[in-house]
Amino acid sequence: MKHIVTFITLLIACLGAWGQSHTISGTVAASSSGETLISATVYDMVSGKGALTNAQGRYSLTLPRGKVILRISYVGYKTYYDTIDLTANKELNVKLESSTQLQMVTIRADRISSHRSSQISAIDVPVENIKAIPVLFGESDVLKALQLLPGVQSGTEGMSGIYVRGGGPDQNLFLLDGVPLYNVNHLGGFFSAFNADAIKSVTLYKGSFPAHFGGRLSSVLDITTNDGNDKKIHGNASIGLIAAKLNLEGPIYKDKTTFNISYRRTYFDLLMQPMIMAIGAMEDMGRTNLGYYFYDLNAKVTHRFSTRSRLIASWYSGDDRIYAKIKYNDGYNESMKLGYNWGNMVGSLRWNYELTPKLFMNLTGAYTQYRNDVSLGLIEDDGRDYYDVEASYKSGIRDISAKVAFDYQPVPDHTVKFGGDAVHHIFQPEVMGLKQESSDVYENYDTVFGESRVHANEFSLFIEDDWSVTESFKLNGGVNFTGFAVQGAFYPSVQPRLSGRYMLSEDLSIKAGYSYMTQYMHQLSNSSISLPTDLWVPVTARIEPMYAHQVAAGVFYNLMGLADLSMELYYKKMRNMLEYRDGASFFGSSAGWEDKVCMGDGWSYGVEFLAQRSIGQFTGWIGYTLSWTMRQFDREGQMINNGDPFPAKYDRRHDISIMGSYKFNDEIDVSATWVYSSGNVGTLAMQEYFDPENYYNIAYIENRNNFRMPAYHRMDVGVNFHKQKKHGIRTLSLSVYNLYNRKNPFMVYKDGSIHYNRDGVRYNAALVQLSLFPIIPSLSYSFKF
Amino acid sequence: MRNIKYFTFALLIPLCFNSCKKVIDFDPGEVSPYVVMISRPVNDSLVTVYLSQSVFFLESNDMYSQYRSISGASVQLFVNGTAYNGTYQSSDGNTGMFGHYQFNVRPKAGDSLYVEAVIPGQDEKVTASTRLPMMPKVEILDIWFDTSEYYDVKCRVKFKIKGGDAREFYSVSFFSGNQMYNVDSNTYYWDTTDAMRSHVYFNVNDPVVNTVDVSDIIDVDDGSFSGYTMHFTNDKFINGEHTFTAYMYMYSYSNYLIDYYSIPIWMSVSSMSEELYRYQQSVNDYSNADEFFSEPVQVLCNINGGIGIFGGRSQKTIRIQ
Repeated sequence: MKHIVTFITLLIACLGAWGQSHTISGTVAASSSGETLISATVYDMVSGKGALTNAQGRYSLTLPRGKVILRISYVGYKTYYDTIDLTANKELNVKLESSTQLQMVTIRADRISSHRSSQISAIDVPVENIKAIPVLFGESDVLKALQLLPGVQSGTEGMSGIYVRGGGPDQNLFLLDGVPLYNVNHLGGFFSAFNADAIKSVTLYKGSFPAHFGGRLSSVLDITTNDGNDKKIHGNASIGLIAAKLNLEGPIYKDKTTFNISYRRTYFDLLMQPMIMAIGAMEDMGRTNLGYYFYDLNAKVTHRFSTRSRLIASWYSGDDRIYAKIKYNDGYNESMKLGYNWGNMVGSLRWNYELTPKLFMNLTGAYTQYRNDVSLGLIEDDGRDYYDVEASYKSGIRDISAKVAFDYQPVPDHTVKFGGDAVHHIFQPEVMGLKQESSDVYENYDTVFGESRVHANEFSLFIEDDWSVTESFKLNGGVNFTGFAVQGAFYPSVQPRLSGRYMLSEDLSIKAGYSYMTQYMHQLSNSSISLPTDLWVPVTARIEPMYAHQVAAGVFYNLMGLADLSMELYYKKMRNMLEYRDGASFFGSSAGWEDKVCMGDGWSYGVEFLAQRSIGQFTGWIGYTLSWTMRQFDREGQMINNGDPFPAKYDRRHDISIMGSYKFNDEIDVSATWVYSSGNVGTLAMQEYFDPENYYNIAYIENRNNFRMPAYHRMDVGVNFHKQKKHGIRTLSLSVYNLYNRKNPFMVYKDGSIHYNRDGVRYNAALVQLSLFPIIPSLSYSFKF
Repeated sequence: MRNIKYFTFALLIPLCFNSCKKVIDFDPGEVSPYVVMISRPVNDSLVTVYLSQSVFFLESNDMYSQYRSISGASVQLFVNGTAYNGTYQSSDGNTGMFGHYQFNVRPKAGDSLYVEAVIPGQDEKVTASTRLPMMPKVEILDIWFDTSEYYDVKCRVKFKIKGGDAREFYSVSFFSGNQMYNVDSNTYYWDTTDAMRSHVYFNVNDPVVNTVDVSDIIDVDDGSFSGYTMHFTNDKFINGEHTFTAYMYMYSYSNYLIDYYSIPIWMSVSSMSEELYRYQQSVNDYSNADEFFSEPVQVLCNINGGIGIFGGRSQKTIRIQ
C-alpha cells in the first residue's frame, strides 16, 4: 500500500511538472494542393521532443513553456522552421513547399527514416514508385508493387495476390480509407482493385501490428485515398493498352470543400464489339452483344468545418462484368441474356474532430460488400405461346460497421490511441433462384433455394501507447480485445501487441516486436487463380478461429541520409489454419464446406534484407528474403500428408527483388525491376503402381508439395517521356514486361507423350511446363492538367 | 512513322513465335522403384499377397501391361503367431489373376495377421500387419420398392449395423444376380457373370462422412437390368446401433416391365480394419478427384519398406430379397 501511495504521488508530481507545459497542435499539408501529409515529422530542437502527423495530417506536441524551435519535415518537401515563445496552447497549421522542380507535385508518402520509428515490420511504399514500376500491360498496380518487397511473395505468374510471411491470401486485411475490402482482384487476379491515381499513401504491416488493427493473421495493407486539391481543379487522363483512366480533383467550395474522383475502365469489349456483331451476323444471329470489362470508381468529398473539424465521405465501387445478349433470327423470337457481375462496393462517412489540442477523434460509419451475381435468361415468343425463364445465383458478404478511435497525447512522451468498433456481417454463401413465366400459367414458378444467410457480429476494443521511455528507447504496447458471435457460438480473444526500438547511435537502431492476431473468417478457394466463386465464410461451431503469434527483431541503419538499410528476423506460428482435404474441390459449389477442409497448424520463419532509397534522382530498393513456410495437419480425422509436416504451397527459399528508378531531368525518367524467386512447390506422384485386386492404377505421392518448379525470374523496364504543354504535362510511357522473354512456370503437369531427355534416354511421358506471359510491350499516354 | 512500324514488328515477332509450353528436363536423381504389396485378407478365405514393383512416373504409360510382379521373394504369413509359407502362383489368363503368393490358411474374424517378405537384392524386409475385425451384425429393418417409372425401379433399404470393434469401419455393397457366388472376394471380382459393384466405405463415428453417392451398384450383364446410382445416408444412432438407409435407382434398358420381385438382391457388409478403410477412402478420393481444381490425393499405405495395403476385413453377405 505504501508503494502504491508513493507511486501515485510521483505520478501526480510528474503530471504537475507538465502543468508548466503547453500544446502545439495543427495540420501539416502540401502548399500546392492542400493535401494533408501523413507521418510528417514535427520536432522541437530545444527539448528534443517530436511527433508524427496522423492519418488525417494532424499532430499534437506538448512542450515545456518557453522557447521552441520547431522543425517540420517531410520527404520531397522543403523543411519548415519556426521559433515560438510558448506561453499558451497554440494552433499551428503548416503548408510545406515542394522541393522538386516539377510544376505538378506528386505527393510522396514516405515516413521519417524507418530506423527512428518504434514500428517494426512495416513499409511505406511511395505512390510515385508504384506508378513508376513497369508492370504487365503497363497498368500500375499497388499489389504488384508490394510483391517486390521482402517478406511479400506473389502467387503465380501475373497474379496480384500477396502472401505475407507464410500466410495465405485470405490472411491479408485490405483497408481502403479504413474500411475492409474483401475482393481485391480483377480479371481473375491479373489486376488489383486499387487505382494508383486515386491513392495518397500505402503502408504495409507484415508483423508487430499496432493494436488498432485486427482481424487478419498475416498483414494489414492500409491505403488512404487523395482528399482533393483545395485550390483549383486538376486532373489526369490516361489511356493504356487495356484500360483508360480519368482522375479529377479540386475545390467545390474553396479552402472548405474538396472532391477527388477517379474512374478506370477496360475497353477491350468495346473494341471487339464490331467483330462480335459480324460473327453474330454470319451465324445467323440477330443482335449480338457480348463482352467483358472491369471498372473502378473512387470518389471522395472532404469538407472542413474548421481547422479542427472535417467530414469525409468516400466511395468505392469496382466490378468485373461479363455480359451477353443474343437474339436469334429463327422465327420464334428466341433471345438469351447472360449477366455475370462480381465486385466490391464500399461507402464510408467519417468525422474528424479535435476535441482538445491533445485529444483527436475519428468517428466512422461504413458499409462494405462483395457480391457475385449470375443470371441467365431465355425468352421465346412465337406470337402464340411464350415463355420467359430466368435462373440466378447469388453469393457474397456484407458488413455494416461503426468505429470510433481517439488519438490522445497526455504528455509529450506518450501518444495513446484507443477506441473500438462493431461490425455486423451478413454472409450469403449461395442462393439460387429459378423463375418462369409462360403462356401456360400452370407451368409458372418462382422459387429460391440454397443456403440461407448467416449473420455474425464482431466487436473490438483497443488501446495502445507509443511511449518514448528515454531519448533512445521507445516502446509501443497495446491490446486488442475482440469477440465474434455466430450461430450461437461466441469466440472472444485478447490480443497483446508490443514493439520497441533502441537507438544505438543517431543512425543505427535495433527493434523487436511481438503480436498476437485472431481471424474469424476464411476464404474458400483452392485454385491458383482468383475466381469470383471464391467465398468468404465465417468460423462456425466446428471451425474455430485462426490465430497467430509472431515475433520479429531487426537492425535498422540510415546510411548518411542516402538510404535506409534493414535486416529483420521473424518467426510466425499459426493455429487452426484451413487446408482442403485430399481430393476436395470448391469449384462450383461450397455446399458442406466444413466437411471438405482440415484444421491444422503452420509456421514460417526467415530473414529479410531491405536497402531503400527514397530521395534524390535515383530511388528504389533491393530486397532479399530467405524463408521457410511449413504446414502440419495431424489432428484426428483431419490428417494431410499422414500428419507429417510439409512445405506450404508458396514456400520459397529465396526471393530477390531489385527496383530502380532514375530521373534524368523533368522530361525523362526510366525504371527497371528484376525479380528472382525459388520455384513454387507442387505435388508430383513420382511412382505409379497397379492394384491387381481392384484394377486401380495409382499414382503414389510420398509427400505433399514434394516437387519444386524451376526458379522464376523476370526483368521489366519502362521509360516515361514528360513534356510541358500549354495546359499541363503530357506523359508518354513505354514499358516492356519480361524483357528477356523468360518462360516462367505457371503450372507443371505430366504429359503422356514420348520424350527423350538430353542424354537420349526415352521416356513414355514428359513433364511439361506451361508459361503465361512472354515479352509484352505496352504503351500508355497520359495528360496531367 | 516508318521507325515506329519497324519497332512494332520487332516487338511482335518474339510474341508470335513464343510457345507457352515446354518440356522440362526433370532429373530426379537416383530413383529406385518401391516394392508394392497388395493384400486384403477376408475371413474364412485363402490369403493372397501380390508383390510387384512400382514404375517411375515418366516411364509409365499403361500400368496394366507394365505390371512387374516379383516372383522370387520369400513370403511368410503369421496368423496369431503361427507361420505359413506362401507359394508363388503365376499370372492366370483364365481367372485374370496376376502373379501372387498364396497361403494355405483361412483366418477367422478377430485373428491378427503379420506378413514378411524378403525380396532378392533388397536388404530391408517388407513387412505389414493387420487384424480381421469382428464380424458385423446386420439387421434389415425395411425394404421398399417403387416402380412408378415404367423402366425404372427405386429401392430403399433400411438397416442397422453393429460391429464387434470399438472403432467401426464398414464397407457396404448391394448387388444382384441369378446366383450367389463364393463369398471369397478374390474370386467373385473376376467372375464375368457377376455384378461389378462399388462399395461405400464409412466410419460410423466419423461425422464427416455421412452421405455418399456411388455409381454402378447393380449391373446385371444380361442387359435387362442396370443399376445406376445409390444414395447412402447415416441416419441415427439409436441404442448403441447405427441405422442407415440406402436409396437405389435402377434403370432398365429393356422394353418390358421388370419383374423386380424375382430378382435376387444381395447385401454385402464388411467390418474393415482401419488401415484398409483409410486406404480405400483415399483410393476413392483419388479416382474422383478433378485434375485441375482438386487438391492432390495421397493414397495411404501401411507397408513398412514398401507401399500398398495389407488390410483385413470380415465380410457377411445376406440376401435381402
